[in-house]
Amino acid sequence: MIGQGRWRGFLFLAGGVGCFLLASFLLWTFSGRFSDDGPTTEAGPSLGVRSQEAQVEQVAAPLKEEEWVVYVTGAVARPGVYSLPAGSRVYQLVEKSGGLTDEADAESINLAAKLADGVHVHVPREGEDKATTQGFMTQENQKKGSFLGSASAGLIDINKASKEDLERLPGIGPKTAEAIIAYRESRGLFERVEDLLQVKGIGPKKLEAIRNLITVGSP
Amino acid sequence: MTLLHTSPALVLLLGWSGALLSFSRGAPPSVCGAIGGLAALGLSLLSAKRMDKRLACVASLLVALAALGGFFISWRASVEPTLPQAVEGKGVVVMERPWGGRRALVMDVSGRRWLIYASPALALKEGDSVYLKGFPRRLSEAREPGEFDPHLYWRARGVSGEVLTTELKRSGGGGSLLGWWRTRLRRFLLLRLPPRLRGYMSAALLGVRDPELEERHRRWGTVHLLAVSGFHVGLVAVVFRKLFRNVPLAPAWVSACIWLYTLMTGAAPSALRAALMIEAMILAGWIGRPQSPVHSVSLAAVALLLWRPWWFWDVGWRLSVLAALTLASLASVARTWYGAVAASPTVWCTTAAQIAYTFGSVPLGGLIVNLVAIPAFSLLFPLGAAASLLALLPLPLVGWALWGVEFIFALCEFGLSALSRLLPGELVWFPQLSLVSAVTLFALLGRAVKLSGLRWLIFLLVALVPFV
Repeated sequence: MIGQGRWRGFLFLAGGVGCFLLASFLLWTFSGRFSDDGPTTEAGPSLGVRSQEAQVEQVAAPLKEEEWVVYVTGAVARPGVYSLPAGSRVYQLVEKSGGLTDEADAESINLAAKLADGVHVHVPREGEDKATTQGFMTQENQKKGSFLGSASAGLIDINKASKEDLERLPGIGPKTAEAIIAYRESRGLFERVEDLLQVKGIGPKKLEAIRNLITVGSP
Repeated sequence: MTLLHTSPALVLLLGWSGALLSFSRGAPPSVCGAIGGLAALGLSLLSAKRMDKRLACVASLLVALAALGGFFISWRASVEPTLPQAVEGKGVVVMERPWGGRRALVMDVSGRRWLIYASPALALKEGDSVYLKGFPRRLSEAREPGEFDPHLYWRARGVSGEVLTTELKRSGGGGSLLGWWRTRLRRFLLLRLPPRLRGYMSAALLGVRDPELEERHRRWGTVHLLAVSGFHVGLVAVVFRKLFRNVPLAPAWVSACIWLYTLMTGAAPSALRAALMIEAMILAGWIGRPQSPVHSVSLAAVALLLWRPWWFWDVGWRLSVLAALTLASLASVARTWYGAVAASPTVWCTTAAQIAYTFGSVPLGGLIVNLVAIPAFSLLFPLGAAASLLALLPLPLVGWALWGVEFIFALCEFGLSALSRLLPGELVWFPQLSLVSAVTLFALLGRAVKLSGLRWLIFLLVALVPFV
């Protein structure tokens, strides 16, 4: 017998209480110390949907060592073509090009906007015709636009875009734009472009039509 | 005889519950494992006044299982499944239920389960074969602490993620046989039986609840009668045990019928828990081992946690385990008529906090209504099932017989309604209610596993740990 005497019984009892106390102490000490935010998406076969590849490229996490080539013009010290690390933002491009000049209209450009490979960023000068030349970013195959505030590499950020910005998208009228805004205000920000399918008035076809023109910014 | 002799699975259940409770409070899996092991060691030491080598081996094994298992299930609960960029292929609808104004469909596509919220207009039913194309995303989580958490609910049902569909249509080819049978049976019940009878039979045979019937029973505090649980599985076991009493290998036949019934009802956590528990008791009887209700309930609960740890947060699993542990403890403590009478109010007491917390309130009427409802429905359900079988036969006067059974169900409802008016009102949740429920359960459990005096009091204090 391991414990025959009466005192052994009390020893077991004390040991049991000690275990519970230690467990409670551990629970109290380590509560709220753990969160697992690891990646949850794996690469897989893309659907045979038009433009899917381009979209995957936009939302995928940038690879290490990858560089973007970006063109900047307008009111910067050294306009030209620059190489920047993937994931850079407009202010990094501006810094690399020597900074804004005294003539630059700093309020017309969103310095926090995300860049993308191959975009053209124009920094307007004060007094420059804002209707056509506000700080914009274009991609080769995209129409020139002025997506201020909500701009992200020439794409409309559906988490931040105003009703007017959303209405610029093909097939999106005032009602659908309102529905998008109402959705993100009531249900929270969009996590991915496909979440738009949850919005009344947007079906798969409409989504495919605008997929290349939109993006989802981080909350 | 100590806890380690009679109900070792209870040590494991409490250890793993401690581990998962710690995980839900944000402790890392390694710490959860340590807490599970310490809880098991604490219980083993608390229950043992002396310990021979055999008992020490059992205790060591349990502590190791509680620690390693606690770590494993906490780790599993923390890992999110990796999602592909897209989901495309043929699959089968394995679950379908109303979800607000929409339908929630669970589809098995390429060996993984996906959740789709679809319009009711699609009219997809369980067992239908479908072609699915879309983009997966993580299951949404509760917005506020204490709110219903779709993530935990669907993970407990094996779902990997939600799919935003770009294409969803019926496809040819074979669906699931079980789903096909369930749909056929559902159609039969809906088309051939009178309203009450079909409501009760849909609940008991398919696990599908009629909203109006559910609302009435919720008012009376008897909604558990509509959720397939130990009550229903137990009835099935009793009926088939009688039927197969003279058949060779009777326990095997009874087991097969129990599992068929459980699958037919949609394999809800309460039904699975009950089936596992009854299976453990049948097996124990078959091989000549002593039957311990507390051990069987704990074993069933532990098996479900090992399979899918997310059950721990499922209200169905919790209520089922709480009620079954209460009844099993009572069966060990008071095997007399007053034990039977006390069963219903005691279960009400141990489950009241969970019900009130989840559903907002718990009807006081349930305290007395269940005293009559449970014995009444233990007769009414077999009667209803027999009447449903009768409806299959092309006999004259079958319609009259069905309406006769309908009248008996209506009479019973009238009685329950009258009884519930004797104790009107509902109890809303308040923190002390959880304390009362937990202490009542632990007091009974402590007695059931032969703890007494100071050891029993310390065991009661363990019930307070989650509230600290």
